[in-house]
Amino acid sequence: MEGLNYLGNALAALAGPWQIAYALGATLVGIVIGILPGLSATLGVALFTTLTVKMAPNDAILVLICVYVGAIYGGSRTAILLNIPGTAANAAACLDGNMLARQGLAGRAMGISTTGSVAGSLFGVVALAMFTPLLSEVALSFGAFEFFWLGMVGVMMSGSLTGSNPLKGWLMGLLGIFTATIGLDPIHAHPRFTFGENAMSGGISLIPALVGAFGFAEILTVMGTPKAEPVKSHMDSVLPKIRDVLQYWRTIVRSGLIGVFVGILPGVGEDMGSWSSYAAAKRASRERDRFGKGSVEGLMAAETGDNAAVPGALIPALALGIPGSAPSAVLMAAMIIHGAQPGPMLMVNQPQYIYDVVGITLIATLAILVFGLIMVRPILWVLRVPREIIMPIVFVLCVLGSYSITQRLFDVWVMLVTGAVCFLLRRRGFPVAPFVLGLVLGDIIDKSLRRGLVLSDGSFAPFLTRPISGVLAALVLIMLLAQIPFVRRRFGRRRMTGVPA
Amino acid sequence: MRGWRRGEYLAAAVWAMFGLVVLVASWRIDRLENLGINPWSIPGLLPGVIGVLIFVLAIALAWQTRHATVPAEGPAATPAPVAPAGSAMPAAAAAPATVSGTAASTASDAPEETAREWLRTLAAATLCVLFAGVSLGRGLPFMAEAAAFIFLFISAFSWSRWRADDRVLRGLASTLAIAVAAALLISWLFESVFLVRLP
Repeated sequence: MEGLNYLGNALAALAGPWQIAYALGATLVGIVIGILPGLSATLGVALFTTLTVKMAPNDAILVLICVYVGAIYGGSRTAILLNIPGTAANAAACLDGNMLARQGLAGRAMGISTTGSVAGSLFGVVALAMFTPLLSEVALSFGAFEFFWLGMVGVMMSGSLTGSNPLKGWLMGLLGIFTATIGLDPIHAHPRFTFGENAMSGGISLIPALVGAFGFAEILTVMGTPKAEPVKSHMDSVLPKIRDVLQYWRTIVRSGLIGVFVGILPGVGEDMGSWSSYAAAKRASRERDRFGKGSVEGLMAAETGDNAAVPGALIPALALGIPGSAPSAVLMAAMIIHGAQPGPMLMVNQPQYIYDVVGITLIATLAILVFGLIMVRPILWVLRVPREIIMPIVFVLCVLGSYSITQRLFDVWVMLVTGAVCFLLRRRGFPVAPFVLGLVLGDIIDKSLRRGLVLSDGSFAPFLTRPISGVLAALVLIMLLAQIPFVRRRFGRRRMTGVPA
Repeated sequence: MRGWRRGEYLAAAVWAMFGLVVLVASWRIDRLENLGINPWSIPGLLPGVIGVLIFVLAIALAWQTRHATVPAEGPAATPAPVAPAGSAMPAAAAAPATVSGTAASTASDAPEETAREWLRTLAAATLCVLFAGVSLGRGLPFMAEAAAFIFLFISAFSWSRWRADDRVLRGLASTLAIAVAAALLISWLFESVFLVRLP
């Protein structure tokens, strides 16, 4: 009952004219960010974090969540028309969305995408409201040992499941953790790797690093590659068909559950939610031959999964202080800037805040339904703007975004260096998402490891023998062993079939 | 094939060296014995562990490269181990670098095309660094710097198209208008709406 009271309060607070204007405006901007090549949900949330620093906390989080939800939804537009996902989360939508567009059904594909996105997001909102308080209660019993392994699980899982080579993913995760140790040590305030520079004492700020990794690096990638042409398809009706919802309701439910579960996994993100849902739908489908050739069910599954993962990723961020995805990592940083303390104590100290986030995510879902129905054609106009015009403007925003939080040119340099390094590493197949997770979780891992060892007087036993720690440590071990060829052969791991290379 | 392996070995070597450097630097961080702190809370503990792990994983990467088959895609792709259970992500879609609204960045076959790509990337990087790393904060008005950067960036990448269409002057004029308008709008937005002080 108390939860319903909090939710009612949250929705009442969001009914104001300014809040509705912020929600609609931010969702629209998020959709445009998702559509535009070179921009990602993470970059959008990072840039807007810098822009909303001076806003009231709840309004700022409203804007950021709406940008996040809008960007994940908006990326499906280019997936359908260009066969290139606007964000990584929409990659699975390319397979069938673009094929439908080539068959003259681009409008129908957009309608299906809208339906799936709204349904997935609603699933996620319900899960966010139900599971965040539960997980927070469980997490109250977590100590330093558990948080150490939780952080490590997040980084390792991100490394294992993003990119094509877990070794490269783990290396990037470790690089992120190392980067987080630069600056003053959080326990004794002793400088580490600062080379005597005062500017380095504050460490490497998260927002400029993210803007570099997802902004500058992406700009270099976009400008270096040939331009793609959109499918010139007659745009049929974009209104979702009720028939599609009724026919594929099982797919929607399954994909929503998978998306939420994947979103909860630390460090995994919306793209895994999308792919996992797609693969599960294909396995269960009676029309599996149509997958990859314009399957309505495939597109529905992909879009439901990725949007369900958005609220799903907020669950561990709010309950544990461990982000479920890169954009939720930035959101977490923004929440801290605005005075919230994500983690187990949030439910104790600020329970209303959790339901404020639930209400905001619900509003963002309704906003994408509105824009999905009425603004498809006008929004697509942005695809006509040449990238030579968009990219330098985006870069100016990246520079200002990096500078604006602490007003230091050092942060602009952080953005440049991080962007250049991530661009070069990505060219060699090293994924960026684990680096982000490492950067966010490095502080927790550092403090938890040292506190744990102090408590146990140097013994590693409690890290392995406490029940929850033991389970998490076993998970880390399983992820490590799963990459050893002998172990994979011995346990006969079945390759996922039917997903094109 | 040899080029790909060489690249992977080089990457592994760089990571291994980086790991060693981190380990040595962590070892040299003051242990604060004079403050009487608990030895398990020394500042260099986690970085040292990270250095060791990076070194070990770099060696594992080199070993994996030795036994890997060459991928079908271009040089930046990696041999894909069997995907973990539940992961359905194909290698081609796994790297976010390809989801940037352009054709796949890893699939250039012709050397000329690759050289052109690198030239474009270098040009973009140079302009960005000159603006953000060199000219910013030197006392010039931010609006002017931003307008100049946007103008030069658009002109550099549109020049050949303008020449082909024989509309260089028109292109320059419209680019100047776009650059000035964008710089004005961004400056106004940040200063007046978001209350952010410009560099």
